Amino acid sequence: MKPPVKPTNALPSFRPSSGAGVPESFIANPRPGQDVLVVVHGISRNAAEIAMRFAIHPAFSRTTIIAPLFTKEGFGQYQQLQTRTPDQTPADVGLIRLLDELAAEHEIATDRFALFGFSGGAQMAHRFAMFHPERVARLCVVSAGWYSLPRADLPYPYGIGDADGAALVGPDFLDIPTTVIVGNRDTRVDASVRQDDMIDTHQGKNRLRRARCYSRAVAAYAESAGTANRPNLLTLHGMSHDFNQCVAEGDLIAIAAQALL
Amino acid sequence: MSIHDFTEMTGLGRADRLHSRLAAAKRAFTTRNVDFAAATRMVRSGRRPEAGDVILARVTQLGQHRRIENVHGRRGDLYVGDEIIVAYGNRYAPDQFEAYVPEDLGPCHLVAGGGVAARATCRHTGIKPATQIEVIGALMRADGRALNLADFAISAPARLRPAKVIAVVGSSMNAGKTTTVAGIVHGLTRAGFRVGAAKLTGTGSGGDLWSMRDAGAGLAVDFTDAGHASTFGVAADELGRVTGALLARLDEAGMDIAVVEIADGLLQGETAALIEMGHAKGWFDGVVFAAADAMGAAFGCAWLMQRGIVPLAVSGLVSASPLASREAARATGISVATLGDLRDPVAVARIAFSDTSQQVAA
Repeated sequence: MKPPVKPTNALPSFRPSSGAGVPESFIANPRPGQDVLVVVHGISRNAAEIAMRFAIHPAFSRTTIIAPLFTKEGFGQYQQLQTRTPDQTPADVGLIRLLDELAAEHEIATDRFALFGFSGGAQMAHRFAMFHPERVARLCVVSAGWYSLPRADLPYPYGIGDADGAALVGPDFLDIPTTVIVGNRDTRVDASVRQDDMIDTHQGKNRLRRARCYSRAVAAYAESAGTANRPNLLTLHGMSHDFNQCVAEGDLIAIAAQALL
Repeated sequence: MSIHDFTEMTGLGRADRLHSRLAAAKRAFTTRNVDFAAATRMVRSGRRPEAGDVILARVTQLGQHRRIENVHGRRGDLYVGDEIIVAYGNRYAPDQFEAYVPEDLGPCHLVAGGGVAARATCRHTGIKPATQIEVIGALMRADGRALNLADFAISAPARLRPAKVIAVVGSSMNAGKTTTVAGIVHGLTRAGFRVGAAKLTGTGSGGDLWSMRDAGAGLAVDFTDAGHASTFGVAADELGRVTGALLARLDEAGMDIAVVEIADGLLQGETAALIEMGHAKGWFDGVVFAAADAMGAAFGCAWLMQRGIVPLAVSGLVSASPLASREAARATGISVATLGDLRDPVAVARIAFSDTSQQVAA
C-alpha cells in the first residue's frame, strides 16, 4: 500500500552556484507570474531551514521563495555587504546576480521582490533595501544584531555616511513598507551580539533595544525628509533569539506574511 | 517482584504465577512494546510458531550472543539457565547467521542480541555457533491466540509522512549505513530541522535506534514498532505497510524530515523490493548510498541509476579513505560525502535538498 504524501512541490531545492560571485541558493515554487520573496539567513547559514519554513506555509503557497546562501569564503561580511579580500563579492552584488539568473531561468520577475531577513540576514536585508530601494517591494527584518542608522554623521555601516559625512544613500528606502520584529526576550548579550562602543552608544546593548532605536531613528529621518512613512515595530511576546522558537511558538511566518504579502 | 520471591508463590493462580515469572525473566528489546497483561498462559507443544510470536525461553548453551539487549537498551550478560523473553523471527545477516522461524516449539537459537529466536541454518565462518535456547512456552492470550508483536504495532493510518524523506541504502551489511543515517540526522538537526529517523528493515536491535536518538533524532522508530522482530521473508506489501506506518508516526510527532535506513545490501531481496517499490510510489525524496568500498559504490550507484534513482551522495565506509572516495566519485559521477560533511549543517543541507531529477546517469 502507498502512504499518501504531503504535497512536496513547495519544498525548496538546492541550486549550486553558477560561478564565482553568485551565491548558492535554495529555491521553492519557481513559477512564472508569482510574487517573489527573498529570505536571508543568519550567521548559522540556515538558508535551507528558512526557505523550507516559508515554502511549506500556506500563506506563501503562491510565492516563489529564494534563499541565497552567503558563505563566508565567497561573500565575507555579508551582513554589512562588505568583503574582506579582493576575491570576495559584496552580498548585494551577489544577490542581484543570482536574481537575474533566476529570472532568466524560471521566467520569474525578480526586478521587485519582498525581502525578509532573520538575525544576520536582517542586517543584510535592511542594508540591501537602503542601497537598492527600487528592488524591494516590502521589507521585514527580524532580530537584527544591529543596524545602519539613517544618519549621515555616522560612517557606514554604523550609519549611512561616507568618510566626509555625506550620505551614501538617499531617502527612497523610506517608501518601502517596512516591518521590524524582535522578541521581547531577545535581550541576552552573548558573543553573537556585537559589542562595539559606536553601536552601544547609539543603539544600546541588546537586540530589543537596538530594534527600538533603529525604528525611532528611521521615524526621525522620515520626519526630517518630510514623509509620513514609518517602520512598523512588532515585539514577539516571550520570544528570544531563536528562529525555530519564533516560528513554532511565535507564529513568525504568519506575521511575516502580513508584512510581506 | 524479585526472583527470590518465587519460593513464596504457592497459592497464586496460574496467570499470576505466569506474570511473576515473566517479570523475573530478561525481556529483550524486540518485545519492548508488548503488554504482558494480555498473556494468560503458555503452550509448550503442539503449535507451529509464527514470526512475531513471543516466547519465554531458557538459555541452554552460550554461543555468539552472550548478552541480550533489554527494553532499555542495556546489553546484559546472559548465563546458562537464564529465562528470557524473545520473539520469533527470521534472520538474514551475511556477517552472522541465516536463520528461520522453526516449525515447532523445540530448541532453537538466539540469533540476534535484540532478542530474536530462530533456527540457524548457516553462519559466517568468523563467528561462534549461535547461543542455544529451549522454549519454555509460547505466550497465549485469553482468546487462544498467541501473543504476537503485531498485536502491539503502531496503528497509524498512514495518512501522511514528513515533508521530506531521505532513504539510506547500502552495498552490504556493515557498509556504514547507520553511521550515515546518524550523520545526516545530526547535520540536519543542527541546520534547524526537526528530524525523525526510522529503520524500515532488518533485525530487531536497539543499537541503531539509540544511535539515531543520540545524533539528535526527535523520534526514532523501527519495524519492531510495526510488529516485526525481523523483516527477512516479509512480503513486499507488508513492507509497504510498515513503511507507511513508521513515516506516519514520524509525521504525527511533528518531524520535518525523516531519514530512513533500509538494511543490508541491494542484493538482498527485501531491500531491493522496498527500494523499487518506494521509488515507484514516490516515498523517498532522495537516496544516499552507503558503500563499503569504491567497487560497491560503483555497483550500487549503477544499480540505482538503472532504476531511475540518482543518489544524492555516496557515503559510508568508503568515504573514510580519500583515495577510495576519489575512485568512487570517478566511477559513479556522484559526490562522496564524508561523515564530517554529513554532520555539517550547511553541507548536509546542500545534499539533502539537491535536485537529482535532472541529472543524467553517469
